[in-house]
Amino acid sequence: MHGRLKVRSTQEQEERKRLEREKKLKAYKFAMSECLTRIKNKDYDQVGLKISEELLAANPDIQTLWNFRKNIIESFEKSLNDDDLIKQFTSEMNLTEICLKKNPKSYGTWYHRQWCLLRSNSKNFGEKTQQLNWKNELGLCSMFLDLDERNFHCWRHRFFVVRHGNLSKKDELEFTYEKISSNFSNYSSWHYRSKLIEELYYQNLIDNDIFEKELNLIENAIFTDPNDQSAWIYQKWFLLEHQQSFIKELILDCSSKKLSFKFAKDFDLNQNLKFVKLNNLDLKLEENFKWNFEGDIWNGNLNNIINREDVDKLLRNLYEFKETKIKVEIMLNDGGFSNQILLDLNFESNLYEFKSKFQIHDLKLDSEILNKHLTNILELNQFEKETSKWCLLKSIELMCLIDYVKYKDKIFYFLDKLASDIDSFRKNYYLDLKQKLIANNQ
Amino acid sequence: MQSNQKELLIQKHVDFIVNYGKTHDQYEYEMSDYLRMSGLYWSVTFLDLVKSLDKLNKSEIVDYLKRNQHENGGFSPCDGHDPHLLYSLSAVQIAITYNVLNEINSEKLIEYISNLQQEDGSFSGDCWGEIDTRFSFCAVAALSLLNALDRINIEKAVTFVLSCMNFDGGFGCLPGTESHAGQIYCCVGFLSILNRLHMINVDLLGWWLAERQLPSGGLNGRPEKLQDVCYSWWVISSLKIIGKLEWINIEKLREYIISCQDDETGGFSDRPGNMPDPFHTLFAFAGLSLIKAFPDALKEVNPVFCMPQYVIDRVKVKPQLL
Repeated sequence: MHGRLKVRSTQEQEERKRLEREKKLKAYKFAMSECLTRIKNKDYDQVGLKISEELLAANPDIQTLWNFRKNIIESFEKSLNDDDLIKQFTSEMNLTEICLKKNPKSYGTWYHRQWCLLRSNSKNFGEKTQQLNWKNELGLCSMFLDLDERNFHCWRHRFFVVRHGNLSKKDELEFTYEKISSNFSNYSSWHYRSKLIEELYYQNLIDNDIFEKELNLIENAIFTDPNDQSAWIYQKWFLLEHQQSFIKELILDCSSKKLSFKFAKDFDLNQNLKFVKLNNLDLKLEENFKWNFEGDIWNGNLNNIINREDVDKLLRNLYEFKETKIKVEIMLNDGGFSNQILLDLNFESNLYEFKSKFQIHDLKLDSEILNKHLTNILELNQFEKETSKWCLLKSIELMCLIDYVKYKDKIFYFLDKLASDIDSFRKNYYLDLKQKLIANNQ
Repeated sequence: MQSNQKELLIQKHVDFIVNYGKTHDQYEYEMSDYLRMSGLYWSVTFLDLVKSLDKLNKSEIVDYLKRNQHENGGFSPCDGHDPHLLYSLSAVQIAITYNVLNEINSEKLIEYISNLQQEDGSFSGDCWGEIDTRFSFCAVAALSLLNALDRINIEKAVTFVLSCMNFDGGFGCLPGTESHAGQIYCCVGFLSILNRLHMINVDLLGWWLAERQLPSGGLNGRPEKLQDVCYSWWVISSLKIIGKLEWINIEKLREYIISCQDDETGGFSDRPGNMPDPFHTLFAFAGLSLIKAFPDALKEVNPVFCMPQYVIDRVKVKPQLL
């Protein structure tokens, strides 16, 4: 029971309510037992549809009844002609819509809808009627998102519709823009936006000025309401992606024990690497360890490390269990934070690989944009008299990204302020972060 | 209605749970029969945590379990309904707590669960094909309690769950979907059982989870949503598993949970002043146990299984904790 206020009522009201409910309960139990008998006897016909429809309209969460209807439809598929089948699927769409209006968070109802859509579209019924049509279904999603823009069931349904209906991702990106513009406090839209950008960017379907545009959108949101989390968390993602885009490729070869990096700019790994961890295991490099630069790739031989036995064991286990992912954490000199990257096993080459989805287009430009962004947030911070938690926290992250050494004092000043005063609930987080920054940059 | 005092009315809560469905609103109770098996798990676990398991009739519950195991091995929520992974996990949890695994057909159940694994490693909730990371957790949790993890393809299962990881370090119900504390609990618990917590970006996820705490002390399940006792549990159990429980204010959380106690009828609600129910009552107590708020009155809870720790020790299951 979520969000149901306890209300006091008079004895008379109570009694009236009790009698009413007793009557309803009796009807419910009678109809339910009728359905369960039919389920047991595999009686799949119109009568079963009729009884279960009434029950579901009153209580959409009874999964067994949705299953019952699926069984009936499957049996109809063998006996009905296309027109009658279309009618049946259409009536399922109507019923589920009624049920969703009653309970927009009913798992079973949303799934029944998906099952019907997939099933009818595999027979191309979607072309013959509006209600089974993917594009039309997107309209239903928008309608339910208008009622509750954070309904994750509905968002999930939307992904499903876009994927199976092969609908335009660019239109969806525009949709998230509209949603965000009408209300910046909509984390669900920001989330969806992150997924769409990743995908469109990867397919080269997005403009190159995305970096600047997104930061502008984020700024619009945070200047409107600096205390709303949504855009700030999105910014964290966006900047992390940006930070990581510097690493173009990362490859681990378990059989020859070789770790390779490819960077997006000139960078001397021997000078700048602070640490590398494989699945949280710190690689303790020998004093004379050298990363070899071959072509445009930095290679390291994992035989030349002090804790070789531990690493051997880890690599053997990865290989033996064919683990599909490994996490590499690396700390490079030019930032306060480390990068944590998941590498995927390529079954053909037997290598663990990571290729950056994002690319830095113009380092100088990107860095100018970032600096401008920091200036704006620091201004907002001044305006808020250094009392806005999010301004403080996000300027810390930005300063770490831009130039940790230069901003070190300010970073620590802000962290102390957050821990002691502004956000003492999460005091230990800020203290841990401070320790980590110190340790990472020793 | 709202509790201003800090006393925990354990006896009242025990009465509330034991009599739920008898003195309580009969209509509400009957209308929720589609999830009865889980309701039973909430009640059994709550009563065990407050050392009052003897208040329930064990043999009736064992009969109920046996009666609701379907011929395909899965468990249905109540008589005549269809089996589902959700209720199969609840049934296993009840059977393990009562130490009566021998009363159900474990082999059939293991077969049922492992058959629900799909080609991509995900799990369908039942034969109708709905996929969700909740079901990945149900499958792996139940199989580990049954000591049968070797019956599924673990690598594929892990790959699927990791494909649901998001930019905030959290997890959604399917690839691409938004992070949600309930889903995060399932995925973090899943990775804990399979010893893969190193795949998580602890700093990122821990921070996002810690941000769920609101000025009231209660926690929400997603940014900019309301606090709720059950979300408080999903979040703090996840924080406990990744070793970052100290990133929130424990004392404030304790105060919030107690403020959701219904002093009149017993039971806990999602927020102060709302209707209490067994679901929120269990998660309120599990939360209090996890933060060691009343160590003398409450048994220790296991953050992954949401069952008493002594039960998890008895079956020698050791989920990974950071």
